[in-house]
Amino acid sequence: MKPILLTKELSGIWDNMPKGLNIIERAKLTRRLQVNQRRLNKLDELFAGQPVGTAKFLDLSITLAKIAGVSADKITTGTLSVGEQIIINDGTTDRVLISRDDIRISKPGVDVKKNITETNKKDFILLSLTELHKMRFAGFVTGGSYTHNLGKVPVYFAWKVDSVVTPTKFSLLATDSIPKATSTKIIDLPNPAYLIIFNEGFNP
Amino acid sequence: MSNYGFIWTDGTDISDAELKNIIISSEHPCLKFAESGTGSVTYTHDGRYQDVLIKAHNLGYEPMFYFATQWLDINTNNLVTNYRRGPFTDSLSGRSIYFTANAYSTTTQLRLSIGSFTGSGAKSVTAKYMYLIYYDPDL
Repeated sequence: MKPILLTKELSGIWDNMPKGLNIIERAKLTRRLQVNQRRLNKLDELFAGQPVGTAKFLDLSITLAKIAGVSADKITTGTLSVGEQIIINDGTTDRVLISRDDIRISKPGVDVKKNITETNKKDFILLSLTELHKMRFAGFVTGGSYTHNLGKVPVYFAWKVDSVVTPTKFSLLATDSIPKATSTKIIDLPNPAYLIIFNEGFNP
Repeated sequence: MSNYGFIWTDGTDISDAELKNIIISSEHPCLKFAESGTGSVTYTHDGRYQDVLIKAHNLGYEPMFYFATQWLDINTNNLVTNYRRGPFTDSLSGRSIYFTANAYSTTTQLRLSIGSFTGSGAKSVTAKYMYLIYYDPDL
């Protein structure tokens, strides 16, 4: 007698079972094979990206994992929640910290996790808690003036140069034309000059 | 160990980028603002430097700073030059009037030594200035 509920994958199994097995043993073995086949089918679905229960490989959530190695370019998205941090250690000291509201890089030998005070901010390469200069313009200027149109008097630095193509000397002597700033222009630049203007400035 | 952390570039392969093409490097500190502001200082041509407080700070070391000021003709009250980075010393044509503006930092203050000399009038003028104190020390 042959069971009538054999799956496609198990069809033919009954006939190929050892001849020494009686009907009951064959039925038990068939049920065991059927159970295992269902488990294999679920794994196939999981590998194909289909949800099995609450697990899904395309949106995998691991509560706690220890990964020996991972390629960073496979990390494409993600959001840090309150209290979560990414710390990078340089082999001796924790030097990079990224959290939801802070990015820090400390100087060599300085623990990036230390409490920030007014007097130790100098110990950091980068602190997102403090403002930094943003470069607006850096380049050679001819003609003695440069229009920046910032609407404020910017922080700037300028030097006299001996060439705008192959300069060999940057200088600014008391006898040179001394640059001055307005809210729209840097004027009285040496000609030619090398000029750096930052976005930061003042409305005095 | 020193070159560790973020090294960002714009359009340059980071593996062989020169420092000038790197936007942020963990090897080189960024200038971080501690204080910034504006103000004005009044000075005369009495032949003495006036040493005035620009801004107090509590850093406990001499910080780097940026300072720029106007220069006004002590006789006419006319603006001679707009915001000019200090320290500087200059004179009007013919050297009739000298002007010196020298900002400096201490462990607790940013101060300005300012003076105008050899003017013929008895006026005082008021020049505006702007300053920026960094957290980074003046090494």
